Amino acid sequence: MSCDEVMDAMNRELDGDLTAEERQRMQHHLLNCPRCVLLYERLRRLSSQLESLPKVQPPYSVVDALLPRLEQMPLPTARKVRRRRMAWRRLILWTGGSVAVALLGVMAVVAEIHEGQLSAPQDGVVLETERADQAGEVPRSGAASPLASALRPSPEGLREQSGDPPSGRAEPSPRAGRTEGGGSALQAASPFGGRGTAPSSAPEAKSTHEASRTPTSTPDVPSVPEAPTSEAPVDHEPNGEPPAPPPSDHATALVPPQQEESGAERAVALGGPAGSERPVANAGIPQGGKAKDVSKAPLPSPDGQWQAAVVGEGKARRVIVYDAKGAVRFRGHALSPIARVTLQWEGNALVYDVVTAQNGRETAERWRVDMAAMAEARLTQSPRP
Amino acid sequence: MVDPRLIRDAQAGNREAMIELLRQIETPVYRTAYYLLGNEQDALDVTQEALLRVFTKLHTYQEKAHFHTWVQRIVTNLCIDLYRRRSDSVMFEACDGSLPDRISVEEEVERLDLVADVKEAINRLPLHQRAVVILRYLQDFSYQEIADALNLPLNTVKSHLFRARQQLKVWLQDHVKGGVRG
Repeated sequence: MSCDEVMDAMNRELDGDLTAEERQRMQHHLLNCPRCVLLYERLRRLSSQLESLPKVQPPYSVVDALLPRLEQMPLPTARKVRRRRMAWRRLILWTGGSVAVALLGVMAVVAEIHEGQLSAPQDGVVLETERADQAGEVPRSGAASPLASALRPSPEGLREQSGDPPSGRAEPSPRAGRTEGGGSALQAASPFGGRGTAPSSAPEAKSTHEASRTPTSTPDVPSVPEAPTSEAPVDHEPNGEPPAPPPSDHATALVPPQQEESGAERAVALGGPAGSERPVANAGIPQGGKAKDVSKAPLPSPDGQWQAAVVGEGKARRVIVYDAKGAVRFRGHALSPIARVTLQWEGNALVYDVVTAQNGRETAERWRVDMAAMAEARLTQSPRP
Repeated sequence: MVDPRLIRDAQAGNREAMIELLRQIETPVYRTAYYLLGNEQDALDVTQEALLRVFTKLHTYQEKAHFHTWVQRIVTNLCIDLYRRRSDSVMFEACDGSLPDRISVEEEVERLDLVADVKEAINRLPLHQRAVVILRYLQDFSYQEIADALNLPLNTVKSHLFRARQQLKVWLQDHVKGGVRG
């Protein structure tokens, strides 16, 4: 054994990978090579240092922290696929011997292969972002294409599908914030620790998108939960999961910049009764009341604890709530640049209406931001002729 | 070792089994994230994300892969993803600012600086070497399991691990010398 070979053997010995014979040869070399003995000694010391690295534990139970969110998420199962497989098999058994069986058998095999490919988790997931995304396993919202993201469920998307953001959720999804707005470098200061984490704007971006297409949805019911995959559920999502919303870094692309009033900040006061969840009938008609044009000045909450404002960020605008010290505590979903937004406080909750005109129709949405949960939810929307 | 029945129950839609499963993998996931990213907050964020991934993707898991390998693949991918996005933004800033070549500066620092402890030394390793070291020493993975988790050829795993050891040895040796001198 040369010194190089021994180096290799010493490393493998540390990992328990040497055969008895190889070990013997290595030891024979070490008897005659003080330099390698020294190296081996250092390697062993290093290895034991690495072995004694602290077995760190999370400072709190992440699962517990996630529970409220998980409860709201549908749990995808492979049941649909299995049921189909069982059906095929039963069919084959019952009609055994006939020509039809042969045909169905071929189809079943094809179906099985097809499904097997779709659900295979270990094909091609690699360190490289691009390849892993292609493989379809462990898709990452940050790197996925808009189309791919729309077809794949993401945690944020599932949460949105389930209705209101869960109350009491301690903090926003890190991914939801970081993947948005073109990367962490472009994010505004975080309300929760200064690392560019924005409260889940992905789902809201989708809602904005949906609202413009399906203005007749009822409150708290996901408007088009299965549209992208319902026609061919097995081909795209064998588990029957609802589709994911487009990640919000594509939000501005999905909320088309509408030309008629390009970028005009037309926030108009809306004097609806506080707490009303009925469709916004008179949005856009200037009225009195507490609401004000917040694109110009922040609207303080009744107790003075919060300040709400509509703030432009690039092409998009969003509702932002600051605390008394001026720190951002909540960031709403991206709004169309031409949407009219009116804000009003109802105790510790901010209610805002978003009226978007498109192709002669106006879409009104009412959103409620619960400052205790630091989450927003769409309350109602109604079509306007 | 996770009970395969627990995995099957969770895959069949049993929420309690799913939660129990997540509890069992929480610490190993966090540990990898912690050592790969080097700080608690990022590790918590990625752990949360990884657990959500397991929740939404478990039905695609097939038993021919080891469950822990599958889980570690998810968390290492998320860490690497985050790390790269961070690096990109740093590079973007560097282009704008006065640091013409951040990498060469870093290399220079690496050569001159002394390393205080093993953890700090690990943080200096190239990402793949770091991942291999973490899976070997914090998850007790074999070469083959590391290769599966990182989707690397077996030989690449070995060479990453051996090089990492060589590099760590040098850095930590420098530290010892520095300590003696200092």
